[in-house]
Amino acid sequence: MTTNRITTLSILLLCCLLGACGTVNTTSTRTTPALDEVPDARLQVNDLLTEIFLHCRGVRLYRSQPSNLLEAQIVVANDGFTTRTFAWNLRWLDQAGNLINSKTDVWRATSVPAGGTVTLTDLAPNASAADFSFELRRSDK
Amino acid sequence: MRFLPALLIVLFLTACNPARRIETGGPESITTTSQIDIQDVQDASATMIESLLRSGLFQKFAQDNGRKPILLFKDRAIINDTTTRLAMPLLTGDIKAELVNSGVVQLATTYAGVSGRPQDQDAAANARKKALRNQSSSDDATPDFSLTGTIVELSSRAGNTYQLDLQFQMTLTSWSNDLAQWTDTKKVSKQGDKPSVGL
Repeated sequence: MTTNRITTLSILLLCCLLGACGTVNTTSTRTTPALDEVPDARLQVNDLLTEIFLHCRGVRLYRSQPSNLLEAQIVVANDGFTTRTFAWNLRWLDQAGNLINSKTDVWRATSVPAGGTVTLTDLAPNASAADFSFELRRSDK
Repeated sequence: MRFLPALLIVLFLTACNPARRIETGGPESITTTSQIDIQDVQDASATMIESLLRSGLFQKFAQDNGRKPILLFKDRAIINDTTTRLAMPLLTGDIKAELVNSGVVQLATTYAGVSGRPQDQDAAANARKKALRNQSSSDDATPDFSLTGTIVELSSRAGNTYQLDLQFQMTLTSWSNDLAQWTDTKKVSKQGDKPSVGL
């Protein structure tokens, strides 16, 4: 084995070691989808997340108790080897599809560690909410 | 060679970053590790609004009493224990607006309290005048709840890397039993070696 090969192998091993550092290993006792799962929305959100090398494990929409307001949960998973940071914004729409103006309509930065998941949660501002739109932006800051 | 001056001018002009308007708290905002920035404030206020609405306390009060609760929320009720000089209405303004405009509470603007200074002094004077004219008046703007809070920070450094950890905490106290009915915290952590643009 030449010196070059040994050097290359060493660098590769070091990269693997560094990549494995901080990786989260996840398991769950839940083996079936959540009862409030919205499969169509999950596919659409997953298309967005794939562009920044993340993927969507689930989108849930339910009435939060005791407020009885609609709440959305989006589970984002990172199967890569580095922590990824992104900015997201969830906007609520009424039954007619019109935007509901709200002060909670802000961009939020979130990090998800390698191998880990993060659950984005957003509560509808009032009872007229029926749907939501989800915006995503790559962010390194 | 004769195009060099023109090329230099073009390069100079394109390197400039002229002042322009950006989306408040949007991805183009400046992120710093030395102080609270607008994104932290917006994130904290949005989290607090959602947490308060999620608790359902105001909705339950309305069902039990047949009227919307009256909330006292003064800008001075938030104690800023950080090194950032923060204009408190930046934080409280959004929370007040969302809670009042969504119709879950009424805001007490004429209640003076210990400071003796109501938020709306003209309306407070009018309320006093009405009370003097009609002693049996049932108009009572005594709050049912009050909101208070604190902002604290923790700065740390390792080599050239700076980290700022912030905690926004708010508490809702019921005036009927003088006990906290809701409290929540929002933590924000930022790390870097220099300020940058973006979320």
